[in-house]
Amino acid sequence: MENLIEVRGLVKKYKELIAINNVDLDVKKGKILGLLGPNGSGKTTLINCILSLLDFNKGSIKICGEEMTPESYHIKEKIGVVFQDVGVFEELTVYENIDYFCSLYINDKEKRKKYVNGAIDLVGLNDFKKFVPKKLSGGLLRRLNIACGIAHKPEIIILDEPTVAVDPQSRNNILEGIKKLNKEGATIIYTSHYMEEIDLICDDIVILDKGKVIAKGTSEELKNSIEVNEKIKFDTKKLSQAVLKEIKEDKNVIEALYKDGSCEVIYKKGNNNLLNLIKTLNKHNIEYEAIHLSMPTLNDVFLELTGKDLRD
Amino acid sequence: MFRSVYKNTFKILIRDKITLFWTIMFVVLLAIMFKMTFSTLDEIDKFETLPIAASKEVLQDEYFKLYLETIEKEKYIKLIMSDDNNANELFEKKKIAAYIKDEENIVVGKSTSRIKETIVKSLMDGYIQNKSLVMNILIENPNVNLDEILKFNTFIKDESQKSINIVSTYFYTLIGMQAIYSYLWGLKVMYMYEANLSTQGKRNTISPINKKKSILASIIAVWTISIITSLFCLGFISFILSVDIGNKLFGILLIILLGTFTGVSFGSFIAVSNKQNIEFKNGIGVGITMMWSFFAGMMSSYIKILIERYIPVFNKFNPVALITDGLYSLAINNAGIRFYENMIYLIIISVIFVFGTMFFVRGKKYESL
Repeated sequence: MENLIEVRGLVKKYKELIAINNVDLDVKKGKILGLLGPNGSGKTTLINCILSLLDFNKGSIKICGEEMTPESYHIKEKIGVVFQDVGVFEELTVYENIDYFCSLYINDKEKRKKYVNGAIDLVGLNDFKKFVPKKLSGGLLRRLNIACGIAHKPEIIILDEPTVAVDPQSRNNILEGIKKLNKEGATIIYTSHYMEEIDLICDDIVILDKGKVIAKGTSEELKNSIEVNEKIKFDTKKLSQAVLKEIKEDKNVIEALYKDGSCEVIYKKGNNNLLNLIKTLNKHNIEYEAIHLSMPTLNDVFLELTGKDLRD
Repeated sequence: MFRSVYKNTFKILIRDKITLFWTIMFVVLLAIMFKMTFSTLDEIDKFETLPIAASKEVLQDEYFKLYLETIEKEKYIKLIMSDDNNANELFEKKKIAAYIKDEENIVVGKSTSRIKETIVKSLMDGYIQNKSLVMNILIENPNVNLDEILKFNTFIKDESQKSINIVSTYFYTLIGMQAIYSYLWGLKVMYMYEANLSTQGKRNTISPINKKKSILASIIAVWTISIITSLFCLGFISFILSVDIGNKLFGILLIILLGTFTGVSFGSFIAVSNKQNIEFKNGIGVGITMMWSFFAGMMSSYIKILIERYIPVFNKFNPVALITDGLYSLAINNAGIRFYENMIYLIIISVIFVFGTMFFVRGKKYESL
């Protein structure tokens, strides 16, 4: 599949600090690439380098097969960016803000009108067209921020943490909108430190930590690449240390923890993990309720690779 | 694209109520306050002629004597010839408000009120300022007919024989300050285009339009707004407050055009020349504009005269002083050499700020954001 964006050996330093450390990245046409990493892992710096906003020390960036420079206006035409910070004009209404940013790409007035209304529809701001930004809630403001970045129907959309500090309703709306844009043909780079969002909407995932790519692949590939295979959680009023020890002795168990009436057992790949656990509990007449079985998450991937939680 | 950027920038900035307040309402309020203060002075002036003594030595200067006699004729003062001893006696008997020992040495009586003291000083300032003008003309044109120039009737009256009130210079300084206040627009517009200053700047930088062209279109838009706000304030001061700004429309327009452009370029320079936050940058702008206004004579015209006398080069690079002096010379001198000299200095200052701004925005990519 054709790569729309190719980053090779990218290095960006701030004096002694290496913000981006030899990063390679491929963004396939028509796919959603998720950049996952904790705050300060280099996601935004990488985006700013791709956009030719930031100077970098080493490496190359190609978009649509061409070297990206500040003067690559024909490439810039194809890109839409939603920055992490809301960047709208307080003096303009919702409609006027979207129209302003769309006018930087689209000259034709009629076409622009159609695009602006399309963007308003997509983010669900129809009832707020004439509102000025300070009258909007945080979630609606984020939606406006997105509409300003994507109104000109770009081929490549870069969204940098678009759901930070938004309510669940706006978050769902935003994620639905992104999926819709992708279905309409846009290639998307989506950065976030929310693994659930990345897991939900991205085709390919790149995990960054301290400016380095520590893993890449599809969600399935990443989860299969780690030792953790499944997690079983159950509630029980009492669980003795002896029983807990016996559970841990199962060859597939990586870790078993009992705290506040709840026990979580983490398993490697293996057959009949759940069955074996139930057998042990029954053997000791342990009463249990609400057994939950879950597959590994991207957080588990991150935890296994770095030894720390994504949210740390 | 140029037209669209111009139109959009105009629309965004004209709705910025805070900047509009500082560039229009603040100036209008100050002008009203000035008018009220000086109206009180006028009232006092109407009813009481100031008795002023002058030394025999100072009256030997025929031009100074002519000046004093002219303002005596207009009943501003009652002139008494005296010497140091006699003056002390007259002060004790409260028969004089001030004693002019020489041009630069005026003794004011202990019982003389602050208002009378200010009037005496303003009258002397008027003379010294005009004398400085004549000296400049003589340097530029030694063959000029001095008798014509030194007729105080033409010196303090324009061709229509209308008197130029010295307090008008305070309003000229206010107009100067207002024009330089355009820095607020210049500062704001740079925030729209510099990716390291704002997210709007990032959006504009990653868009496919040529950054230099869009900055140019936006600068022209803010210049337009600055000209409109300046003309509004000028109109208010002239028509509503009835302050004499003369009738040399071309000259006045040229001052406004160059003065506001200097303000806009000053603002752009502040915006891009340092990495402080916008509040700090606004503080720099206000501080420098206030300092310029002070040295241009906004609080006391005597300050401007002192600067002219001791460090004349300072006011050559003080845009508020240049605008004030430009308006003053227009009112008294039919846009002569002094006027054009002021305009040339304004152009030089603007060019310095424009090149300074270009120097700081020349980078294509940023080191950090």
